[in-house]
Amino acid sequence: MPQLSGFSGLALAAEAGHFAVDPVSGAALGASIADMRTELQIVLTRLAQLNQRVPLGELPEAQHVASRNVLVASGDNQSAAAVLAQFDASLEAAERAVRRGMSNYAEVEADARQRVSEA
Amino acid sequence: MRATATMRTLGAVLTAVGALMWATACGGTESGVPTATGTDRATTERPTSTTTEASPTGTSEAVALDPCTLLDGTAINLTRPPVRDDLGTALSCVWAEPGRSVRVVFDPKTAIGDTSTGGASKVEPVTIGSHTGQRVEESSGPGNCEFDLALTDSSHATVAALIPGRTAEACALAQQAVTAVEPKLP
Repeated sequence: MPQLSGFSGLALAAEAGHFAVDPVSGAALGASIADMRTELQIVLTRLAQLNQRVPLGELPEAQHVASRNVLVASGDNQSAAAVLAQFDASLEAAERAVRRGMSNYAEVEADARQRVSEA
Repeated sequence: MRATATMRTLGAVLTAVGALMWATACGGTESGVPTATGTDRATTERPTSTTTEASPTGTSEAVALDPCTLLDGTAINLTRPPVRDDLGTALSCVWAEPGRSVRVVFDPKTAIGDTSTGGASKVEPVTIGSHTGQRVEESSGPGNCEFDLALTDSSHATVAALIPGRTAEACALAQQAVTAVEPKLP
């Protein structure tokens, strides 16, 4: 079993057939991940409402602070929205890995049954 | 079978790790999400009763609306229960699922002319049913699209959709939602 580092590692392991999960556990994992992604979407939705440019005034200082707020919230790859979006993408990869893991499990089970019947 | 037992054990471990990550991400044992406004899960649950106030006597007041009652999420394929999520004076409700969400906001103290459209890529006037307002794209980045509708001189409603990175799809979803919400607005 390869060393798993994060969800991308899990996805790679699943694709290579090194990760399998039984249907009950897989369904529980999938539901948990979907719940997490839903809560994350709520946070992103709230962030979208919060990070609109705040009318702080026309002074240069106020303009700078208003721009800075938007930058921190959603302005670049290190912004809150960008980081949360990356996290969501990781969770999506984990969802795919679990689905593939369930498929791998079914294949292993079918193979085992075949061997037993042939013995 | 040993392999099967190992797989089941792995499944259980991953479930536990997921639960731990979830608890850590939320900063506690509650299943809610952290908030900047102090509004917690207990107050973001869908209310069981609708707030009622006196009917408006003119154009400067609006009936207090429970935004969670304005939309049937299943009509736009958002089947999870809505979450009440007020921000400041704005009464707000969110329908969400992985990767997409709709927010309906009733703001009784902000005129539509005072809403912020600062960073929007596109703002255009719209008429939805008997209400006039504006359609705003990407006011908070790609994937965000909203309709702001004037209710009175000092209040407005907003129907916004968020599908990160996919503005056109967000606008289509927001259009569906606002079409369903508008007939219920005063």
